[in-house]
Amino acid sequence: MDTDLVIRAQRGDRGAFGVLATEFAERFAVTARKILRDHDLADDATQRALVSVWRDLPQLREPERFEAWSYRLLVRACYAEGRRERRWAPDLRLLPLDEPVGDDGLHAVDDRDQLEAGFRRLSVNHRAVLVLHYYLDLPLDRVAEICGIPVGTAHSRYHHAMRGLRAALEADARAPIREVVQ
Amino acid sequence: MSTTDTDLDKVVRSWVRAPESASTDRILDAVLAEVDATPQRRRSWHAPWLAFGGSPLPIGLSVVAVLMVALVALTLQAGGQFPGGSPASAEPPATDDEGPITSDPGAIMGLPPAGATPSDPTPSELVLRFEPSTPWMQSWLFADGRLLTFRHGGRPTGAGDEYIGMIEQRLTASGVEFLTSEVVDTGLFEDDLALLWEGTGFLNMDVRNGDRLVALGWGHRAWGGPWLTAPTATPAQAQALRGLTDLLSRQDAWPESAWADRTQRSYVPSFYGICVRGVPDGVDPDEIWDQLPQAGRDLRDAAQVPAAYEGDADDNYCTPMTIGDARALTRILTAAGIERQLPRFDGEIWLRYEFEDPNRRGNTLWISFAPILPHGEAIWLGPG
Repeated sequence: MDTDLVIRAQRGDRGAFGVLATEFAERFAVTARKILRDHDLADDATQRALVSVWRDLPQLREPERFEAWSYRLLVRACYAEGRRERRWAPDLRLLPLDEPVGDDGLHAVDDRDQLEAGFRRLSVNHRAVLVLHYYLDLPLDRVAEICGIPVGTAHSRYHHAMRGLRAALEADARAPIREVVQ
Repeated sequence: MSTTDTDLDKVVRSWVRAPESASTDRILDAVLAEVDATPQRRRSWHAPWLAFGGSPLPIGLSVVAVLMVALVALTLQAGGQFPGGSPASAEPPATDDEGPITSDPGAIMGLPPAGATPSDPTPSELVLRFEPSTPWMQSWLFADGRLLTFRHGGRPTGAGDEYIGMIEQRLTASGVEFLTSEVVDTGLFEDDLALLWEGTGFLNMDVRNGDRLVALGWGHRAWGGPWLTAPTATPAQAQALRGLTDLLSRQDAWPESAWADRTQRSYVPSFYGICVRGVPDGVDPDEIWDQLPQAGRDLRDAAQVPAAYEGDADDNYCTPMTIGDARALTRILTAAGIERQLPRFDGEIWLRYEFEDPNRRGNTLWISFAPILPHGEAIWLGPG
């Protein structure tokens, strides 16, 4: 990240901001999609976050911390979008097949579907902690900073979310093999 | 499938990291069009009190906050209506009801009276903070010798009309050295440390060790986070921490040479953090400010804070204002029909206004006035 760009954008240089926005837009959009699991909401969150970055950039005291600061705005935008009208989505429970475990530890299809279902049952707050931790590879104290929560809260959200995903993975192991749309 | 922690970590990591791309042309077009019509917000300082990251110490405050949230949930009453329509349309005639209110046994909230002299110097470096549970109190010691204390329950002897809940005393340089060395010499403050207390009390501390503040939290497993796996304090550690609690909470045990002026005076801050919140559902701060009269928003936009007081949170939940501006804001809020809240909790020290969230049924929007301490932290012992 080019700190000079940040400083120029702080001073109101829209061209510099345009370069920054272009650099971050896809990362923001993908991160938001992973948190919100809805492309439309994620795109809206990305747009909201980038406009917030422009508007609030003069408040950033340390331009070298731009990335962490901007992700905080993105997470906040995800919270806001997550509170919007919830759209209907089928809750799929896909039951396990006897497939070999891949290199990534995932069965081919079923684990991913169960994780998806389990993840969707988590609050946006909990999803954000997991995505920041696993996707952006941030330790939980940095996750806490970005989410604006105490470190202890980040830990508890992480553990709660992982319990939820574990339950999603394990709950269907004993059920008959079929697909249920709830 | 039975999943070990390692398996689960691997599976979730792999799933979350699944390659994904997004076309952002439409987003960028919309953003750049909106930016063309969006002025940047003038640089303003925001108190770092929300920046809990990296320090376990505010957990004690968080515990208190959680308890207070529960109390709020139990005691919130209907109110905070806007008679005559939106607050944004109201004019701010002068009123004067922002001064301290007291209630038994020690809940105090309000701004210092007009003419109160702020504590000097304004900014200073924090060298020690301690918060024991018994007696429940919090103290902040600064490099210039100032010692600020919030003590649960009751108005201290000597506190005058300026009292907003915090007492200021002065230590000598040797007094500062005495206390910090007593703490550091326990050997427990080389790195941040979480220790389990197999009881119901807690001790939170920060101490400056070299160029950084080192945090120690001695608390219960229910705090979660690091305390879920924290080691139980050894008998020697527990003894040392009990000794510190006793030393730090008993000023009569400090040598006379530690004191420059032990007279208890009311602490008068130079600035207040105007902290806005949605309760129980969080609300974007800008949305809350947009509900307030234009005159209030103007005060926020015009807020000026010395550079030396700059925090690092870059969070816009709290906006610092001088006491004068904060006082003017209270008048604007009152004129808009936004209700000042009476103290509800023992020890409550902040001035708070609240009104119903027009966009979320059952939600309440809070505007709290949090005194800012010399190191730039806004103290808000309320729901976070």
